[in-house]
Amino acid sequence: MQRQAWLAAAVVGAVAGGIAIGAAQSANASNSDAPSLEANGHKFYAPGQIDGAWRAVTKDYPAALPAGVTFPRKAPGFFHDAATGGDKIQGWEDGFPATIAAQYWRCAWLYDDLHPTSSIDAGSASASAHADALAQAQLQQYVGLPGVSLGESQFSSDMATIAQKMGVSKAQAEYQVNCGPEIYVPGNGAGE
Amino acid sequence: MKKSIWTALPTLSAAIVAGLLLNLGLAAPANANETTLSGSAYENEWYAYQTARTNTWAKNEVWYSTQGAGGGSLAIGLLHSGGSVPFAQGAQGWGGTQETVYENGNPWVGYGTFYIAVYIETQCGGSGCGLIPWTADFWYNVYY
Repeated sequence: MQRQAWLAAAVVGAVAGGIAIGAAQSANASNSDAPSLEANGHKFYAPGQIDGAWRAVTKDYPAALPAGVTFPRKAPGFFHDAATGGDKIQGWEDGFPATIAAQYWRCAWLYDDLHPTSSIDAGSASASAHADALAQAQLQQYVGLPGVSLGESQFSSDMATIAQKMGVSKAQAEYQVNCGPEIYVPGNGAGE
Repeated sequence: MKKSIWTALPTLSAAIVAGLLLNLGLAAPANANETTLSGSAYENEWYAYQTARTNTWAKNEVWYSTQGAGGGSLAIGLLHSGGSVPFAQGAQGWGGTQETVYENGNPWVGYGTFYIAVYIETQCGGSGCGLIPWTADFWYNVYY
């Protein structure tokens, strides 16, 4: 009798455990803003949730974009197109939309800095120096944005190293290596 | 004139120290970065993590060494924000070292900030293995 009771408890426990795991994996069909996948403390967005998460992050963004630039309604192609060998990402860590939104913000300002509409000749040495100065001034704001895990001095140092090796300004180097079309398309928000 | 071992010792010591330093320099390039990654994931699906890291060489080696038990493998992919949507990856059975390789076969990745994605392959079948913990030592920004 005792054995039967133990077995029944074990079955109930197993079923409850299964339900809990299933719920963790698919919880939230009704709330697209919260990550629906959970793996031992890490929460992930399913692919179908990314656009909703992106909109939640970019609505009322804490830092202004350059004049005339807005966040796209859909998440950038980075989230939709990343694949290898036919496999796509099935879980995006909670916070990733905020990380890429900050990068979009950064790329928008870099593009703006590198294409001055003032009397400074775009492409000239003075324009490059001007763009570097503006990018450096914005860096402090960038590393304080939600989702940014990079340290200001390390990031600045890394970009200076890359710029030196590429033989271009820091702003040009950063835009070239970190602002691909899957993140930011000037005048045409990626992912729209 | 024949030198005794005792008179040659300082020179030998200096040579050994210089050799050791040279070896250390070669084994650990100045800008190489090493970190330990860990997490848990369900099998046979890619999970992407938000922490950004930067490779500062035109060609960077990236590799990892897995720790864990059991069958299957751990693949680590690199997602580049510079536009390489088909991402670099390596796949390694537990307990080995693997370089990440682009789909074009290059054993290096370019400049820029990247994010990692992880894929655990198992053959649990049926309802799967549930959550699988993983740990890997990870090197990046290594001059190629």
